[in-house]
Amino acid sequence: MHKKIINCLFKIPFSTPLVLILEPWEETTHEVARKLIESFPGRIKGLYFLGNLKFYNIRVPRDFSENSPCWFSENKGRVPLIGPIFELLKDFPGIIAVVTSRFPVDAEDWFGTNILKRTVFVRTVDKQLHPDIVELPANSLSEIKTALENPVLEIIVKGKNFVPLQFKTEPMAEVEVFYEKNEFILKIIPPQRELELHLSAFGNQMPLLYLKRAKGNTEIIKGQEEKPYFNEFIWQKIPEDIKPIFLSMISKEPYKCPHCNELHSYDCLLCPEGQLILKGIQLDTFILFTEDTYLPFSEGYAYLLNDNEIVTKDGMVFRWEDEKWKLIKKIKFFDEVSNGVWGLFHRI
Amino acid sequence: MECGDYFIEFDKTGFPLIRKKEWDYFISLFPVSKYQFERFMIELGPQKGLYTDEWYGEILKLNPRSSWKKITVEPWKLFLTGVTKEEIFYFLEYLGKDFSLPTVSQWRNLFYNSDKIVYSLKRKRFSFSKMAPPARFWIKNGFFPLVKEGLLEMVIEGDKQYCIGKPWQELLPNLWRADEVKEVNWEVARRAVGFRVVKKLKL
Repeated sequence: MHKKIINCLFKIPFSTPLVLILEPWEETTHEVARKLIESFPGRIKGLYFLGNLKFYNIRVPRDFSENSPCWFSENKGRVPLIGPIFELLKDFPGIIAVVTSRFPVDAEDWFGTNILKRTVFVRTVDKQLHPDIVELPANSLSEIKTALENPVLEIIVKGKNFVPLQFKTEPMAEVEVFYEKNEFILKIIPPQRELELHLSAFGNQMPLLYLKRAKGNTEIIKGQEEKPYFNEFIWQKIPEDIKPIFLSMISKEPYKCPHCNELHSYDCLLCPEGQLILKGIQLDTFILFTEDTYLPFSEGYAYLLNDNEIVTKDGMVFRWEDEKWKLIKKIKFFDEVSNGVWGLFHRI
Repeated sequence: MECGDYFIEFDKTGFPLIRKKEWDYFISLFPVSKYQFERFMIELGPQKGLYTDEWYGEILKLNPRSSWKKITVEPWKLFLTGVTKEEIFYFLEYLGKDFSLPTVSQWRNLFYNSDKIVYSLKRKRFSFSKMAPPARFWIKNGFFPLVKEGLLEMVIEGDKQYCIGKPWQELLPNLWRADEVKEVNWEVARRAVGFRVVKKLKL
């Protein structure tokens, strides 16, 4: 498959969904469930009863208060089984709260599994349910609330042959790009709220976002294709008065300083009299240039030189070889980047 | 799925049933497990006072449940025992209309073929994807078909119901031959009595 520029949007959730599993015949269960549903509006999308595979939707807390008497009586007498419900929830990325007075008869089958690590048992009796599970008494609501949190620990974006070209988060978050084992990984420092990531990338398939939380499996989030979000890189004409300086860099020959009229070496960017040589060109920026045009690399992470080569804003040149990106050159100050294109760190 | 001289298929709960080429029925490779029966109970819910929390609680008092991963300690706890023929009725109906309890000769055929079945299944590298996790685990560990030693198993002959098989000694001390038909005192032996199912081939 050919590599191409992909524009995509990732919607990154912050809070983790919560599902309740209730023991159906206890007055206390009802009360605890009500408090939890009111404490986590929007996070609890619905509930199950032990021994029943039916999912009861909760769009707003009122759904529970209005329908729960009927739901509870519908489930009266069912065997407190949890295994088949866990099977349904195997791919559910959130936290499971089981409100019960007894340890479900088949829960032991799930010891050592990932799903039990993100299950919190809320017991409605004083007696411990089982020594090997996370359980809290129903009267410790604040502790229960804490146990039901599942903070984000890591967010990364990666994909086959993927190179991030430009990216932006809304609201703003800290983003870093790493090059490890011949692949690029974009890492977002976990935010404290929901986030959108606009990404322009180069590759042959849509990259994926991996969201790792304190408990449970890593969530894999697919991006949605979107119209180009970023402006295209625009090459600008080199002003005539400084063009000879760029040309002298290319030929590595001295140039005549426009300020002091003395000859300076091609790598001198500050006249000894204190004047900036490349007047009008952004400072502290990596600049790409040809004989006539230049591109200040002030936005974005990487620039696509051709189908097989990219250059990053850190001056690293990568080539696609043997089915992977290989670092072929690191520009420290000035060097040729690709045929007819040079790179320069414009700094003093 | 072909497996040497045998065919294997799965019931609704993902447990294997086996058939020798010349048999006109499939018979379950294991006695019915609690795992299987629980799948049935969760799907159907209570039926006329049966399969309720209270009902199952009484069954588990006779023979408590243990995780299907524990095959070396008190393995009878993995299987459903102590239920009557009437209590099995809805389970058979749930599996399908061709399901019933085995006859004496159907059970004996499984018994007489058990060594060959073990040999065939151990040699065959078949796909486990359709199989319920406990069955997969038990087969991989050679924990089948449990006819030489296992439970007392309910079999039928006409309208009559008998027991066959040789229970684990720790479950019910005995000097029985597995393939002998026994008439047992239900109250004494109940906790050791389980069952298999057969599925009649459609002609």
